[in-house]
Amino acid sequence: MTTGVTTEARHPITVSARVSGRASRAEFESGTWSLALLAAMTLLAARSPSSTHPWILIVQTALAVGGPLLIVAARRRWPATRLAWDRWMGGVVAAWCLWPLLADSVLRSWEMGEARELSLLVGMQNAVLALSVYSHRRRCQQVACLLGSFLVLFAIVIEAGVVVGVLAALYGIGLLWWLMARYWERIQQARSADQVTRCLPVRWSVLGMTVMVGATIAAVFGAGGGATYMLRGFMPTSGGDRWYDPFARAGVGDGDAMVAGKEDAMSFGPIESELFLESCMPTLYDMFNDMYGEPIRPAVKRELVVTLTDQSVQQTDRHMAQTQRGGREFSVLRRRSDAARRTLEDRRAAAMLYIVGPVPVHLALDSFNHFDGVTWTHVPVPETQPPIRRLTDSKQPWFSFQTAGLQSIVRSPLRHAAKVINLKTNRVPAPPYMTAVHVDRLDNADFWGWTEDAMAAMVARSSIPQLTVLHLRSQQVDLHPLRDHDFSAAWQVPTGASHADAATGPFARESLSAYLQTPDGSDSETAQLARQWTNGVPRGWQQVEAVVQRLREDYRLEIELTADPDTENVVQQFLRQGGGPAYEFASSAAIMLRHLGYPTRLVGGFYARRDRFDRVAGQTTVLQEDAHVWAQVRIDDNTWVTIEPTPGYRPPRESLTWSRWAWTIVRGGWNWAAGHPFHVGLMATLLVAIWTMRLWLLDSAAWFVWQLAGIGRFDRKMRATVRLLEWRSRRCGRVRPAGVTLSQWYGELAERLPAETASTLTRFLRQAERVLYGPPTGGLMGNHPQMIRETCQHVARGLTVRAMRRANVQAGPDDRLAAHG
Amino acid sequence: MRGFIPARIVRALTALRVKAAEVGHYDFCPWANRYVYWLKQPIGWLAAGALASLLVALVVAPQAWFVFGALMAVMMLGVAWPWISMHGLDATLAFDRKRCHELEAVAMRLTVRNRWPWPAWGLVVERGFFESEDPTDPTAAVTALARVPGWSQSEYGFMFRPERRGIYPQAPPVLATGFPFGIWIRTRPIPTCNRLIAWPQTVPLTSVPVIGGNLLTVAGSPIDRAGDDGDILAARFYREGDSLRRIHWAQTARRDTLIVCERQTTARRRVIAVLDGAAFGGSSPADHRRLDWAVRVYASVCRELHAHHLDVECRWDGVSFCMPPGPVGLHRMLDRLAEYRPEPAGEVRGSLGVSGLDSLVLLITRDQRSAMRFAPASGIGKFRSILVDDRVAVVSGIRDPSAGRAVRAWISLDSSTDVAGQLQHQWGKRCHDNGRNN
Repeated sequence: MTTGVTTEARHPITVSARVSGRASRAEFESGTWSLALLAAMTLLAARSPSSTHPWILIVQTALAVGGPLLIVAARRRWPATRLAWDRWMGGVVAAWCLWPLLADSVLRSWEMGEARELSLLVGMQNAVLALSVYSHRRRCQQVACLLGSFLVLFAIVIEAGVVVGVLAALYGIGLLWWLMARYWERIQQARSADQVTRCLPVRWSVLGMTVMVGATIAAVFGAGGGATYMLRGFMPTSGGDRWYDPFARAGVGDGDAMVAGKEDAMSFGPIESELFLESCMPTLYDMFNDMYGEPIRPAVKRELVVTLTDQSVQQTDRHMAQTQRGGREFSVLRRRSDAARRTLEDRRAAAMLYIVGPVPVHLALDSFNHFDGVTWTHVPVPETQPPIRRLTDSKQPWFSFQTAGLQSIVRSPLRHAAKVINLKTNRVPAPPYMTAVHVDRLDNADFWGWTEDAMAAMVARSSIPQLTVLHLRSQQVDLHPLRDHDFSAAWQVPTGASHADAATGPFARESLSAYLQTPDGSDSETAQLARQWTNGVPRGWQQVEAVVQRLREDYRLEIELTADPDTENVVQQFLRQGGGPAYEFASSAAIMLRHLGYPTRLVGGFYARRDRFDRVAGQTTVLQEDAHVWAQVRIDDNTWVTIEPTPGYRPPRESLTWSRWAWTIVRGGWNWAAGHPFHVGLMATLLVAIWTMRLWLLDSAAWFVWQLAGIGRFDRKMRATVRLLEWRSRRCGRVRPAGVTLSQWYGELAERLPAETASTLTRFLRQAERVLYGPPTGGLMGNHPQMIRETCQHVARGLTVRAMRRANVQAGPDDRLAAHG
Repeated sequence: MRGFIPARIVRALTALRVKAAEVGHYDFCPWANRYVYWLKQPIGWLAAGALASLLVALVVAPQAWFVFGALMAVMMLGVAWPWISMHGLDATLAFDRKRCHELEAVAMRLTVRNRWPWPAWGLVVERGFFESEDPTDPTAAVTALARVPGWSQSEYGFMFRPERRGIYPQAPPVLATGFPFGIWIRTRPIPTCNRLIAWPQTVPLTSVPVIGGNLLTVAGSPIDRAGDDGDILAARFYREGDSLRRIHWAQTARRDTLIVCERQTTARRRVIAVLDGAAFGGSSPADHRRLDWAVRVYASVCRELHAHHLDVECRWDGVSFCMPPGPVGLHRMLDRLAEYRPEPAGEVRGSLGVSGLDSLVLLITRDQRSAMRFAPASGIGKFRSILVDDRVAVVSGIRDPSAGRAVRAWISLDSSTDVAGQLQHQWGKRCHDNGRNN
C-alpha cells in the first residue's frame, strides 16, 4: 500500500458525480402522474352513483386532468418558462385546488351542485393532479402521493362498490411499486460483487440439521411409540424369524429344533406344541362381563361345536374350561356387580394376547348388526365373503382374507403378530383392514373360514390353541379421499324415510338394510340430534367424523354410569345423561350414523394399549381389561372403516401423505398454540429476551468458564484471561492473525479505550507476554502474583464485548495526525 | 408573462409570492420539530394513513378496516424486512492507499458478510464521504449494492473520488437498507480498516521568487539543524520513514531498540508561508470554495518552495512548524492541510517576527485589508501577499500609513474562474520579473 501520491493532477478540478437519491429531471415523473390519475378515477367512481348529472362529473374530471396537462405542454413547448412555472408553483396549485369550490357554488345556484365533502375532495384531487405536474421536485412527488392516498381512502369510505374497490386496490399496488421505484433510484448505480465466497456456517448447519432430523424422527417415531418400529428378529438373541440359533434367548419361529415353549411360556411355539398350560381360558364375553357387568337379561347359554379334523385333534382328558357366555349377542343394558372377578394366579398368564407390532390397535373378534334398543345381535346377511386364497410369501403359507373395494383408500402395509395365551376363541383377533393370516407351517386352507358376522376364524377348531402365533397382515388407510366425495351416494337413504322404506325402498339393498336398521324412527330424538350435529357439514365422511368428534368431546367415559334397567332405548338415555361406558359410545355412534344413512355395525374385541408395551420383550400385553367395543362404517362392498367414538381410545392411525402429515403437524401446533396463548407468549418473550441478550449471556458464560479455568496458579489465570480476551475479540469480528503478537493486536485497541481501561489493558499485555514468553523462572519480573490476578480481573470485567465493539466502531476519523508524527 | 401583464401587477404578485413563501417556510413551532420530524419520512405517512383509516373504520365505514390492515401489513413488512436483513450483515471497508489528492480516484474494497441463508438487496454505503449541500437531499451514498448472496462473504470494489480535502471517512460510514419499500432505513456502522487522507490539489509551479534582492541560494554551509548532510549531530529513537542506513547499530544493541543518527543540514533561505484562516471563515458554499482554493494555493506554493530546498515554515491559526527536507516534510505539511479547518474568529497567533534579513513572508489571504494586519510586522521587501477572492480584486493598492506608500497584492486570484491557470501565470511572471519584486 502506497503512502502517497506523487503525480499531480493537471486537469481542472471538477466535482465528481455521486450516488444520490435525487433524480435530476426537468419533466414530471410519470409514476406520480399515473398514481394521481388513478386516484382521480377512484374518486370519480365513488362520486358517480350519487350524482344526478353525470356529465358534470365528466367535465369536471376532464378539466381537472386537462389543466395540469396543459401546464406540462407549456413547459415543454417553451422551456424558458420553466423557471417561472416553478416559481409560481404555490399559486398554481392553490388556484387549481380552489376552483372546484367556486364552481360548486355556481352549480348550486343552478341546483346542480353536490355535497360539500365531495367538493372538498374534488379540490384535494385537483391539488394532487397539480402537484404531480411538479413531480420533478421530490417534495411535490411525496405530497402528491400522500394526498392521493388519502383521496383513495375517502373514496372507499364514500362508496364501497366493486369498481371503487378494484381501483383502490390498483392504486395500492401502484403505490407500493412507486415506493420501491423511489428507493431503487438510489440503487441505480448498484454494483455486483467482485468475489463471492460461500461461508456456510458448518457447525451451526450440522447442528441445525441434526436437530431437525432428530426432531423429525422424534415426531414420526415418537408418535407411534416404540412398539410401532421394533426391529424384530435381526439379532440372534432375539431369536430371529427366518433362521435358527441354538443360543437364542427367545424365538419367534423355529429352526431345526422346534422351540416347544415348554420351558418358557413367553417363547413362541408352533401349533404342534404338546403342552397346554393349565389355566382358565376366558372368552371375550367373560371379559365383557368382568368389565362391564352382567347383562340384566338372563344369559342365553349356547354351545359352540366345531368339527375338527383328525390332524388337529389333541387327545386329552382334561376338561376344557367352560365359558360363561358363548352366545352371539351383546347387551348394552348391564349391571355392574361386586362379585370377585376371576383372577389368575400367574401374572403372566393373565395376558390374553401378546401383540407384536404397532400399537395401539383394535383387534376385532365379534360384530353385531341388529339393535333393538337394548341388545345387539347379529342377523344373517345375504352377502358372500371373498374366498380365502392361499399365498406364498418367502416360502411361507399365507391365507388371504382381503376384501374387495379397499384399493381406493389403502396405502401402506402393517404387520402384527398375535400370540394367543388365555383367550378361548377360534376367531382371529383381526386388526383393521386385515388382509392375510399366517401360522407357521399351517398350509391347509380348510382351517380357515369366515364366520357369520364376516370375521376371520380358524373354523376347523373350537379355539385357537394356546401359544399359537398368528402373523397378521393389514393395511393402513388414507381417509382423505373419503372426505372429498359422498361415499354413501350409492345407497343414500333420503332423510326422513321410515325403516320400512330404508329396508325395501329403491335406495336400499337387501344386504345393507341390516346395517341401516334402527330401533326408533327417523323423527326420534336420536335422529334429530344426529341431524343437528351434522347441520351444514357436507355429506360423506365429514359427517361421520362430526358425529364421532361430538361424542368424544361432549360425552364422558364412565364405566359405572350404566343405563337405567327399565329403559327401552339405551342410546337415547346415554345421549341425555352425557356419559357412559364404551359400548354405549359405540352404540350411540352406530345408531346415529344409521339415522343419517350410513351403514354401521358394532364390533367387540380388544384394544391393545400403547402403555402396555414391554420394551424389553418387544411386545404388548393384552389383558382382559382391554376388552373393548367400537363401531365400523361401511364405505363400499365389504369394506368397513373403524371409528372410535370413545374418548381416551385412539382411532386407528391414518396413513398420511408427507404434505398432509406436515399440515397435520402444523395444524396441531397451531391448535396447541391457540389453546395455550400464555405459554406461547411466555416462550416468545423468553426467546426474544435470550436473543436480545445473547451477547451478554454468551459473555457471562465465557466469564464463568474463565472463573473456573483460572483457579490455581497465576499463570493459569493469565492464560485463561488471554483466552477470554481472544474469544471476545472474535465475537467482535477481529481475529488475531498468526504472526501478530498480543501487544501489536490489542495495543491498537487500547488507544481507543477510556484511559483507565487502556492502562489496565496495556499493563495486562505486558504481563501476559512476560508470563507466556518469558523464562519459567523470574518471569514475573517484579510483578506480584496477586497483582497479576487483579490485573486479569480488571481486564475480564472492563474489556467486555460491548466495550470492544464500541472501540472498534470509533476507529478511524477520531485519531489525530499527531499520533502519526 | 411580463409582456402581457403590467409590471406593477407583476411586482405586486411577486412580492406576494415571496411573502407567501416566507410564511410557508417559517418554522412557527420549532419546539415541536423533534416530535414530528418522523412525519417527513415515508413511514410517517403510512402511520398517519393507518391512523386515519383506523378512525374512519371505527366511526364511519367498516371497509376502512381493510385499508388499515393493508397499511399495517406494509409498515410491518417495510420495517421487519430491513431490520432482519441488516441483523445478519457485517461489513468492513478499506482503502487501497493511505493518501491521495482531491478528486483522485481511490479504489475502495467493501467486504460484506451475510449470515442469513437468503440474500439481501438494496444496500447502500453512506455517510462520511460526501458533504451534502442541500439539507433536504437524502444522504448521498458512496456506493450501492444490488444484492448480497446468502451465507456468503462478498467483496465489492469501487472507486471513490474525494471531493474535498480531508480525512475520510469523515463520519463513521454505515451500511443502510430500506428494501423493499424504503419506508424505513436500517443502518449498521461499518468499521474501516484504514483511513484516507485527501490532500489538497496542488498547481504545478516552476520557479521561486528571488529573496532579498540577491541571487537565489540553493545550498549553503552546514548548520546545526537536523537534516541529511554534514556531521552527526545527535542520536534519537527510530521513527517511521528514517533511512535504515542511519541506524547506529552499537547503540541499538545497547538499548535494545532502534537508534538512528541525526546529521546536519545545509543553511537555506527561509520562507514563512502564512495562511490567514480567519479571512476564509464562513459556512456558505461560496466560503467553502474560497477556503479550498486558498488551501490549494498555499499547498502549491509551499510545495514549490520546498522542492527548491528552501527552509519553509508553515503557519496558520496558531500552528507553526517547519517542513523538514525530503518527502517526509511535504507529506507532513499536506497531511496537516488535509484536516485543516479554520477557526471561526481566529487570528494568526504568534507574531510574525522573523529573524534574519533573508526571510520571505508569503501570506495567503482574502483581501488587502486583511493583509495589512501582517504587512507592518514583517518589514518592507520581505512580505508578499496572495489574494484569493470571488471578485477580481486587482486592487491597485491600499495606503499603508506606517510605510508611507501604497501596498499592493503580489498575486490576485479570482476564485470564481480558473484559479489554477491564474496562479501559474501570475506566479511565473512575478518570479521572473526581477525589477518588480518589491
